[in-house]
Amino acid sequence: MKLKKILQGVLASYMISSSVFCVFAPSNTFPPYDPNVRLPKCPNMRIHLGATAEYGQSNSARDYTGDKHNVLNIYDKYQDAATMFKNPSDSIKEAVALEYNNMYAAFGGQLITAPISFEGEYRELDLTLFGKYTLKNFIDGDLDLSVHLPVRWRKIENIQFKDLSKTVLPMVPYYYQQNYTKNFDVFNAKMKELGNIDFSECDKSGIGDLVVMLEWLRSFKQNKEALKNVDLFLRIGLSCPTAETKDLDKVFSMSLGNDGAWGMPIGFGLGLDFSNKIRAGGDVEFFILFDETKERRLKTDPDQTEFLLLNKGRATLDSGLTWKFNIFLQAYRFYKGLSLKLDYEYIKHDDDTLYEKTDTFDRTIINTANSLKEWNTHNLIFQVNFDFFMWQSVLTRPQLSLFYKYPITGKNIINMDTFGGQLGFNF
Amino acid sequence: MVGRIEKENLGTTSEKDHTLTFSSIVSSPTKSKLYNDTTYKNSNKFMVGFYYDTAGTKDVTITAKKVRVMHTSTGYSYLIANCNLSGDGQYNKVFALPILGNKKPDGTTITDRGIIGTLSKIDDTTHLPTFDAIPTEAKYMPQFDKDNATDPIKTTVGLVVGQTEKDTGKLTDLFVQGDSVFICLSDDGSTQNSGIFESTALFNSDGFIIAWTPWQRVMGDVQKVFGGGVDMFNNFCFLTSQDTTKTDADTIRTSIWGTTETANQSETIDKDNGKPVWTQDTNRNLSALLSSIFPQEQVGVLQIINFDEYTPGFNQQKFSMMVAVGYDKVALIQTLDPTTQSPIKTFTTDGATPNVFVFQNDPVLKEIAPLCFAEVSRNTDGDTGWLFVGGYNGVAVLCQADGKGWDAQTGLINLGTGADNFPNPVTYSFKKLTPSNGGNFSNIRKLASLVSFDNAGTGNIRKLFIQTKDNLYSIDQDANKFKNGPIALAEQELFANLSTTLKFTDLLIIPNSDTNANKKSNLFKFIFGSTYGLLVGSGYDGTKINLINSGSATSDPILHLNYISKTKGLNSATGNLYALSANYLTNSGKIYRYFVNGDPSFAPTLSKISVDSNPFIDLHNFRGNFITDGAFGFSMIARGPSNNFLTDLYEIAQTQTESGSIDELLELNDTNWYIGVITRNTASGSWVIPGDWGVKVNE
Repeated sequence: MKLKKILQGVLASYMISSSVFCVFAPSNTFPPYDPNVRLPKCPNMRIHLGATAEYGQSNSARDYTGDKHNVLNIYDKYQDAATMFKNPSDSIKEAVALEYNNMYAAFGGQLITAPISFEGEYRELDLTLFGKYTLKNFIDGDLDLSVHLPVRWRKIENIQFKDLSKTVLPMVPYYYQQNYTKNFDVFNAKMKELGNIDFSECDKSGIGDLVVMLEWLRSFKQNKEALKNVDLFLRIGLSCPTAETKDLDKVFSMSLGNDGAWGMPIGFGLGLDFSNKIRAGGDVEFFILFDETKERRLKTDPDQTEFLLLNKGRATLDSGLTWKFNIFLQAYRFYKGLSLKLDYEYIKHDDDTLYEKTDTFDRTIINTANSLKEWNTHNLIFQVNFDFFMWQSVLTRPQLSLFYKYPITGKNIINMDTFGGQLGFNF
Repeated sequence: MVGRIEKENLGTTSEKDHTLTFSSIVSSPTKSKLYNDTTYKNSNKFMVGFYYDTAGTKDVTITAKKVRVMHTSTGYSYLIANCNLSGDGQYNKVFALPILGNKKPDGTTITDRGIIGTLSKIDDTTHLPTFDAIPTEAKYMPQFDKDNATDPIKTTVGLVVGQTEKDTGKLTDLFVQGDSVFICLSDDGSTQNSGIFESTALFNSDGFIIAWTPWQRVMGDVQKVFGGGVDMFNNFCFLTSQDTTKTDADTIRTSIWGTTETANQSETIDKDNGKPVWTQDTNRNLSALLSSIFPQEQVGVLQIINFDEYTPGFNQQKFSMMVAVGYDKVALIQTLDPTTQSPIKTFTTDGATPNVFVFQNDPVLKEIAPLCFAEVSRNTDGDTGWLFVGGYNGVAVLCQADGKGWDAQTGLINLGTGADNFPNPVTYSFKKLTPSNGGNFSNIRKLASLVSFDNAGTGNIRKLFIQTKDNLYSIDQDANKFKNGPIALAEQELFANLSTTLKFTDLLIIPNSDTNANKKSNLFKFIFGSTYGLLVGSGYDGTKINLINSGSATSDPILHLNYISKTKGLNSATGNLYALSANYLTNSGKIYRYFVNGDPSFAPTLSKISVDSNPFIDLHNFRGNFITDGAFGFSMIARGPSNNFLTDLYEIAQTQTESGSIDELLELNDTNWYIGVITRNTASGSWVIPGDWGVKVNE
C-alpha cells in the first residue's frame, strides 16, 4: 500500500529546475533541487508544485588559476591554430599534413604558434519545474519524493574573433590572414573544411536532465532557551540524462545537462530554529556523475588548445566528485509569512579524467585539457521569501521567493551574478 | 712517439691496471717505410720522419712543432700536426695524419695493440687511409708534396688542413674541437695572419676525411693570438697582447655572446672603490645600428645572408658583405675593408663613406614583403652584379634604370663609392620581376644563381633560380629584363607535373666541378628540401630539371639544408650536407649527414655517411633550422607555447653532446619571439644571430 502511494506520488509529481554541470563550461547556476532555493516547508500539505527561474549573463569567467578572462578564454588565453596540427590521427593525417606544410612553406620556417582569440558573452536562463509529494507516516519524519525537470536556454553570442599572431610572429599572418584569419567567416570555413569544427554562435534551449529526489526530513523539538527545534535532512537522487548532449562539431555547443551522463546526488543537512524566529543551518552534498563513454574531441599534444582540436576519439570521462557546502542564516517568517535569508555556498568539482578507448591517443596528453581541471565557486545568496498561507489560508497555499546570487570567486567556472525566484503551491 | 694506456684481460674479472707504453708513431720504423731507391730517396714528403742515405745532395729536415689528436665524429682518429718539411724554419702547414684506432672500418678489433695509435696505411689506389693496417713501405705512408699539393698520387687525400691558402708562418697554437682544427696566429704585420682560424674536415661516405675547408677566421677578432681554446658554448678564450706591448702575450681575452657593443666591452678599475667598471664599445655598433633600422615591433632582422670575399662578382678577397633582411627593409652591410682586408668594426649609414645602405619605405619591397631571402648574381660579366631579394609576394632586383648592375668583371670593392656607386639609391632601385602571367612569384623559399657553361661547354648560362613553395623557376640574368620598361621576363617553370602536396623548403645547387672552365649546367645537381624529404634533381639543360628521386608524401619534411663546402664563394662539387628532417606534426627534429659529390662520374650524388648514427643528431624536438661549422651545431626555433628556449647548441662529436641553450648568454627573454638562422660573418669570423632584437653575435 505504501509502495503504491510512493508510485502515485511520483506520477503526481511535477518537475523542476536546473543543473550546474557540463555545459560549454560549468556555471554557478543552481542545480534543480538546490536546498538554497528550497521554499520553506508548508506544514500538513502533501503536494508541493512550483517552478524556479534563474537568469544570469556574463562576458567573463574564471580560469583554472582563478584569474578573470573573457568567458570564451576560460580554458586558454588564446587558441593556437598551429598546435592544432600536431600528432594528427590517421584519419585526418593527410589533410592536416598538407595544410600545415602549405602554411609552413609559405612562412618559410618556424611556424610553431599562431594564436587567435575569441571573445563573447554568455547568457543562461533556467526554468525548473518541480513537484514534490510528501509521504507521511511512512517512517518517522517526512519522506519527500520530488521530481525536477529543468527547461533551459543557453546562448553564446557577440563572438569577436581576433588574430593575435601579429603580436608574436608578425611574419605569420601574411599567408595566414589570406587563408585563415582574414575574417571570422574565412576562419570558420577553413576549420569546417579541416576538422569539421564550427565556431558559430550557440543558441540552444530545451529540457535539461531530469532529477528524481528522495528526501527524509525529521524535526526534533528542543526545549532549550535559545534552540527550539532541530531539523535533519537526508536526500538521495538520480539525475537522468534527458538533456540534449553537446554537439561535438560545434565549438560553442553546450549540453543542457550533464552531457549524457547519469548522476546521483547524495546530501544531508541540518536546520536549527532559534528563538526570535532565527534559523540557521548547513548542508553538505556530493554529486556523483557516472562514467560516460562516447566520442569526444581529444588533445594529441599538450600545447593544443581546447577549441581547436581536430582529432576525435572514443573516451570515457571519469568525472570528479562534486562537493557542495552551504550555510545559511535566516529570519524565518519574522513578519507574517516574510522570511529573509543569507546563504553562503561553496561548490567544488574535482578533476575529471579521460580514459582513451583507442591507441591513437595518449592518456597523459588528453588529460592536459584545462577543462578537466578542478572547478569551484563561492557564492553569497540573498533571498526574500513570502509564504502567503501564513497570512491568509487559502485552498492552494502559495509561496514566493526572490533571490540574488553574488559570485565571490571561483576557478574554471563562469561565475555570474544571477537572480531569480520561485513560485510554489502547496496542496 | 705515441703513448698508449693498455690493460690486460680487458672487460673480464681479471682486468689489470693500466700500463703506459710508448712507441714510434710509425709502427716498427724501418728504412723501407721512409725510403726507396726510386720515388722516395731522401724524401722530405713524410711528416713524421725521413731516411737520409748520406749520399744525397739534399739536407733533409723534418720537424713538428705542435701536435694534437682529432677523434672525428665519424669515429676515426687523426694526428693533427704542424710540421716544417722544408728545413727553412717555416711551419707552414697543418696536416691530418690518419692513425689506427681500436677498431677497423669493418667493425672488427685490431688485435695487435702495439699498432694502435700509430699511422694508418694509405691505400695506393684510393689514396685514403685504410684504418686497418700499418704502412709496410713508403708508398703506403701519408705524404705531402708541396709542388703537387692537389695531386692525390703525390699528396695524400685529406692530408692538408685548411687547404693551402693560409700562411701559417706565425702559428702559435693549435686546438681541435669536433671535426674542426683551429690555429692561432700572431703576425705583427698583417691582420690577415693574426687571430684564430678554423678549417673543418669533409668526409666521404665511409667517414674518412677527403678534404678540408679553407681557413676561415673565427671569433670576430683580428688580434694576435698566442694560444687559445674554445669552451662548450663556442666562446673562444685566447692569450693576446695589449696594444701598447705588441710582442708580449700578457692579456687573456674571451669572445662572448651578446650585442656587438657588449661583446667587445672593456674593463677598467674604478680608482675610488677599486671595483671593475665595464664599458661597452660603442664603436662596435652593428647591433645598435641594426636594431634601430629593424625595430622589434617590425620583427627585427628576419635573416642575415653573408656573401664572402670569394663571391664571384666581388673584388676577390677585398670585399664581402652581409645583407640583412627585415619585414620590408633591406640593409647592405660591407664587412671587409678593401685596403687593409681586415673586417670592418664600425658601421655607418651616413657621412662621406657609408658602409651600410638601407632600403626602407621602398614601394617594391613593401609590395613583395615579408622578405625572406637575398642572393647576388655571382656573375663576372660586365655590369651584371645584381642583388635579388625574395619575399611572400615576389622577387625584386636592385639595378639601375637601364637594368645594369655593378661592374662584376672588375668586381665590387666598396658599397656606394667607386666607379659604379653600387648601391647608391640615387642610381639604384629595386624593381619587381613580373612573371609572364602578370602576377607574382609568390611564397619565395630560396633564390640561387647559376653561372656556368651550357651543355655544349661553349655558351654561357646565367640564371637566377627562384624556388617558391610550389615550384622552381629560372630567369635570365639579363639587364634588358630588369630595366625600366623591361622586355618579357620569360621565366621557365621547371616542374610541370609535381604533386600538389609537395612543397619546397630549401634549395642547394651543386656544380659538377670546382673548376669554372669545366662547369656545365646540365651536369649540375639540384638538391631540394621538401615536404617529401630530400630530393635530388638532375642538371639544368636549358629548359628543365628532372627529379632523380622524387621522395614520398609519407617522408618527414626536410626543412633546412646546411652545406659545408670545400670552396668559398660558391658551393663546391664535393662537400658535406647536414639536412634537418623535422616534422612539426610529430614534434621531431633530426639531423642526417650526407657526402655530396657532384662529379657526374660518381654516383650517387648524395650518400649518407655510413658510420653515422641514425640520425646523426637527434634534436628530440621540432626545430626550424640547423647550422654547423663542424665544431658546433646550432639549431634555432621561434618561441612557441612550450619551447622555452630559442637556441640550442651541440658539440659535434661521434656521440653528440648537447651543450644546451645559449638564450641566457644572449640575454634573450620572453619578449623575444622571432629568431632567424645563425650566420657567420666571414670577414670578422663572428657568429651573427638575427632576431627580433636585431642581431647578436659571438665575438
